Amino acid sequence: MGRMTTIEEITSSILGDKYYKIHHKSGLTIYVYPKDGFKSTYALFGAKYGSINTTFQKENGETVTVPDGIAHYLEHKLFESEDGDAFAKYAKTGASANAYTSFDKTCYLFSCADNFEKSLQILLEFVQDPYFTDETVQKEQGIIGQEIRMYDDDPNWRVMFNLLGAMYHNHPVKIDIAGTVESIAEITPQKLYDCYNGFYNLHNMALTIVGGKAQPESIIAMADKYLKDAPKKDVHSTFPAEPETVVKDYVEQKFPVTVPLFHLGFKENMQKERLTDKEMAESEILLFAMASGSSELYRTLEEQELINNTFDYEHFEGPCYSSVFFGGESKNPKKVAEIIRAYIDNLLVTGVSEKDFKIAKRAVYGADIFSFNRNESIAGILMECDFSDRELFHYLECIKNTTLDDVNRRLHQQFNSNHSALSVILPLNNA
Amino acid sequence: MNGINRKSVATGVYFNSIKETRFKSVKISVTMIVPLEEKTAPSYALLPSVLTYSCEKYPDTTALNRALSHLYGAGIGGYCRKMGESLGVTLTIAGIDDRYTMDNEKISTELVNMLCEIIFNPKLENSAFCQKDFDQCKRQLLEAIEGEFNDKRGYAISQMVSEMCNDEKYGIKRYGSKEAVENLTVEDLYQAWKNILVCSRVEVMMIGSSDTTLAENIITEKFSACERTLPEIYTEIRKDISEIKTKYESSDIAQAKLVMGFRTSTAQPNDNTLPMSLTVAILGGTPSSKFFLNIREKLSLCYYCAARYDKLKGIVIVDSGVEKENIEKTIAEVKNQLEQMKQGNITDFEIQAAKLAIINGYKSVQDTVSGMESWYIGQMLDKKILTVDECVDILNNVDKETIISLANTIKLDTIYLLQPSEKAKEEN
Repeated sequence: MGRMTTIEEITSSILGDKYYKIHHKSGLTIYVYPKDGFKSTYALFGAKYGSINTTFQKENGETVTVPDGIAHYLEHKLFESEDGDAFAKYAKTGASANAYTSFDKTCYLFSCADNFEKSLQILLEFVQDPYFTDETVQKEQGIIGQEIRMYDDDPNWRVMFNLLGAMYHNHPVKIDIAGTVESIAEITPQKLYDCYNGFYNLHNMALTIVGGKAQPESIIAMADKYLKDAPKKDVHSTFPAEPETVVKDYVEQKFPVTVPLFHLGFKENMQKERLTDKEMAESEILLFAMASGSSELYRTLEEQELINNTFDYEHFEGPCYSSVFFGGESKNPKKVAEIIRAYIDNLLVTGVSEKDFKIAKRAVYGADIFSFNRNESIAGILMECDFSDRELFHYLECIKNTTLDDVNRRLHQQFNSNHSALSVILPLNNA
Repeated sequence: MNGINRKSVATGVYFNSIKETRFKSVKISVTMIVPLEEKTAPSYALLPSVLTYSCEKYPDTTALNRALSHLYGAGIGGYCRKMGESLGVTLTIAGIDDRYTMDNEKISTELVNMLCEIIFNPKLENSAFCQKDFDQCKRQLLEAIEGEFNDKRGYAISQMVSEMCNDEKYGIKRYGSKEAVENLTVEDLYQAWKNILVCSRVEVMMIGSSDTTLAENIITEKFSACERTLPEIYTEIRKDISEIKTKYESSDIAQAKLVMGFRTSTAQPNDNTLPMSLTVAILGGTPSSKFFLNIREKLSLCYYCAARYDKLKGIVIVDSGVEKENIEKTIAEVKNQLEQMKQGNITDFEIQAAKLAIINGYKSVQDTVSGMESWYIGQMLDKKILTVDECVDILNNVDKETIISLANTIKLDTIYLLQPSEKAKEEN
């Protein structure tokens, strides 16, 4: 292929840490973050491919739409090779292995204290070695069907997907990650190969390694040995146009719960695929100022006994979508929504105060420093950064450099009460 | 891991510290251990929430939270958990290490002071806690208790334990009962706070790069000022089972939750607790376990079926989410897999895989602050405190005969089932 492997060293003066970004000749981008003195090492091998990538162009130019839940199904099936199951191989190294599928990525991981090289070999080999037959695909329907039904019984999961259904007209983020018992019944080996061949090419993937054995030289040697050179392929997912409005502003479901649950979402009008580091940092500070335990909003809701310590908020962002969620348990979700909407409408007029901003900035900065404690969290954020064109250490600088004006500008981009929806789970006997 | 430095600093009070520069943060926790009693459990369950809600110095909860936010988002935590037939009431503070503040501020001293304010100087009114704050925390604890049913998996496990140990202290919920929490008063809570400071086993743990002298001095001074005595900390181990108990409940859920409780004759201070944890891991603790490979992978009976062992009580809990038509088959298969172990049908691969997985977990706990904290706090009621390397050696030396003989001491006691009601089945 004639490509060369190149290495960039990226350092943080704030943390005194560094990592290496390796552009491997195979096409894969590899991040290596050494953690001196750590006993364990964590590796994450991911494809920029999740539940929302249901419509895409195949190599021959043909546009296909695949069944809902196929990315997650593929994740389960990839563990099987002709010579056995990856878990059985990891059992011989002692590594703790797993995988997960989210809206926009599929990741395979392990963490180990001993036998790092052997475990990395297993990871690189099985992810590059699909093996799907009618029989093995058929067999998985039972287990995944049960996983789907387990989530059907999870009110926290339902309250969120009901909200996404109320907020998004067309974007596939509204579809359950695992699909439905019906949709997964349509999955065939050929469809799995179509998805695999499209998205699991090294140019559309990243490998992040963090821990005591994260050393660039040895990892490049392993990559040279186990990565199969891949021709550069552009895989193109298409997302239908999404209006800025919501589908409906209220949705409820009766459920066997004792305490009602709610999720209130505010939809941002996304004009581009992903937000920048700077915008993400501004949002994090903004939301802390608005709704953390240090905020007026939290105090008001708690004093009126409308929320409890399950109350939380989240910036939910991915390819072509960005929303803010407030959620938790409440005896009166409609009242909570009314108060939050009124609070935001008022905030849009007054703006966040200097005092609230300063406290929020320090707290968010501290929280971000904390996230560098764990191998697992660094590896996950490095992967997210690669897929969204952001940079780990730059994000911390962005937090440090954010101004009150930035946060108030972001407030206006992110919030419009007319584009919000409330999802509620009510107890069955609730009249 | 650097060694733990352990000192007795007052009657029944131990100051433990681990000097670590690998982390970006510092954490200090104070765990006060008291016997689990029906009468006092409700107060102890509420106490950590009220202590972390406000204090004399920051009488308003928003002001307290803002002070913590200003300390770079330092977090205080308060929780209460069962440790065998004891309760551990823990108060913690965690903040970023002084090396990473924006303007080279030193916040570690403030963190120690803040934790002591929370524990020793609560907001009081006439020898009782502040009524308004108490009411707010009590409401939230009651809502948490009501909300337990929302998490069906956790609810089912809790119901099984209550049924299995209905005439033992272990069967008492960490908060006693909902009714008892409803009846709590500000005076009850004040008594509980007074009691726990003078009559408890206290384990302080500090992990980070900061100097420990200040924390040690303040904590020594505060507890030395109390006239302290030590409570009797003891867990009853029952070995005999007269008949297998069953309890069935139903709800409008899609998938049944099956929980099976077993007794073993092995619990602290017995030396065999580590070999027993290996035995239970082979049965159902890892992706190479008998349950995972047979019940999930080979027979597709359920998405999860896991076994865990409580070394303080000597019981094993198996929990699973199963479709209604597979319930009987799953119960039979759980029994069958245990029977296979009793008869010695265990491969070298199964033993080795479980050892490697457990050892990997042990070694990895040294890489997180919370992992190290729970490694040591989890052993505070054990006969002897062991390092990771000591545990690894013990595990590596467990042989197949020991595993078989331990498997033969595992006996089924209770089967609990939360099953879908007929109505829910028709709708699906």
